Amino acid sequence: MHLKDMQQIRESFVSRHSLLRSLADELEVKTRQALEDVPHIDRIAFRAKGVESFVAKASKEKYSHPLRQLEDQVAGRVITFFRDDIAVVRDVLMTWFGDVEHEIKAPAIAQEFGYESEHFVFVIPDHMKSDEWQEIADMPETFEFQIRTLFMHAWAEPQHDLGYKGDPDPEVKRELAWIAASAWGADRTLNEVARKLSPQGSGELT
Amino acid sequence: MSDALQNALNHTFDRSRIDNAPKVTFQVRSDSANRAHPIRDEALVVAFDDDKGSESALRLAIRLAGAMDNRSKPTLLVVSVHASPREGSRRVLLWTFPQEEVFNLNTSSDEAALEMLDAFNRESKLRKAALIEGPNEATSMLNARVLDFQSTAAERAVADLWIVKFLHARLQMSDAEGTQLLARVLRATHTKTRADQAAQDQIGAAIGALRLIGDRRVSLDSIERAYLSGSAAATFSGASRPEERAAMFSIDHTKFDDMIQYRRFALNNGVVVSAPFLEVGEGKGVTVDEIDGDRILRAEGTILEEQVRTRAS
Repeated sequence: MHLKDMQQIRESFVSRHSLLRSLADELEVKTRQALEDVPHIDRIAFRAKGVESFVAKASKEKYSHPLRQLEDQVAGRVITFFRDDIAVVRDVLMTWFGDVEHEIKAPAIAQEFGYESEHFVFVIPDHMKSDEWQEIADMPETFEFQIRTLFMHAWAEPQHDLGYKGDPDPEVKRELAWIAASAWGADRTLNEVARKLSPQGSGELT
Repeated sequence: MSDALQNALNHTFDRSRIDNAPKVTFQVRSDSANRAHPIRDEALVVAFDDDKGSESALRLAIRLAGAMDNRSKPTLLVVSVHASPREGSRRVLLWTFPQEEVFNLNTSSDEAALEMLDAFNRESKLRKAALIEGPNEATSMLNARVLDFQSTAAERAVADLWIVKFLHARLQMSDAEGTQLLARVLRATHTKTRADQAAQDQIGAAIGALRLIGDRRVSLDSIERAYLSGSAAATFSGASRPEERAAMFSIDHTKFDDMIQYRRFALNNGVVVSAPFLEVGEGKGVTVDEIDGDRILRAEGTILEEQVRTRAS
């Protein structure tokens, strides 16, 4: 993609950023309303993608029209206390929003430990867009969404922040795997404890 | 296609205002890599593959026949592709024109003859349309704008035929979201019109009617038109965002009753009365009458439980 094109794309993205932020705010309000009766929610957060992050991703060759093709221009996340809560949140949000993608992220091999989360792509409902949104060409039709537990997040965020590139040396790989395994174990155990301590030993988290 | 037919379809398109019709979201296979969907897949072929478009149109016709399930009169399905003002995009339009009986006056011979004919009526109230627009990309053609005058029908099978059964789509506002929004708007309207008894009566009557409306699809706009006027309508309209008002949904009655269950009255003597919505009114357990400009509440019933509390809640 030519430099000139990327400059135009950057300017277009900057000019529409306030609309994306407004949508993120509206989606956050709606998601809070959707989940107001759901317990064990640690946090609900939405954001509009930052300009530099967008430009870096948009410059990849596979995006011929990044302004309408990048689906994480607006993205949200719900973090739950316990593993069992993920299914509850998933069911509610799939009822509220039309899902076009749903993927459970987990290590491919049973012996491995690493990133875990549920990823969705939802359609942006028309009634959550402002009037100005309809006037602008190539606005995104979808937004991304993640559901994960506190322990999944505790592993995912710091290791993402470390931003290591390429293949770390074996010692670092082993340490990262140990952290992931510890988070996975703590997550499973906390869920089991919560089940045991649930009212009347029902085994269901309330 | 003849010029006359082209003009007729263009005229029908312009009159339909489908550009502003409500959107539905296709229920694509979210576990498939290509977002597979029986209508979207064919629409992409019709729009962007000239060689295979007619095969896709045939598959759409077969799908429509299956959705109609021999319960409706024959319908003409028209599938057309149009240029889009958006770069790289095309528009696919699916129309159905139901067959209806029409009079035909034949004056070609010496005698005028009036006969009955079956014809596909382009102005029929039962016609339906879906406009699918976008480029040939994974992120596009996930929605359709829909015209369907039967989508608010009381009978669910009729209401669902086009959007749910044929298009395999869902309304963009879910029943849960719409019900929550409606309840919140009604509560806000009720609170803001506290000093306006006529408005309060309208809102009370509207809530009573909505409890009995069944599965019929509604929108905030349609509710306002049907049940409210004057200050009640203005307050109701102002309690939601303009973008939300035309969105259709069905009322989730359990949720609605949970959210609009009680009316709470604080009286000038410190008494607080919290009454189930249905128990307020003439001949009910709680009555409210206007006497010399004051609203007087009377409550009657058998006490089942009594508590001592720090304050009324």
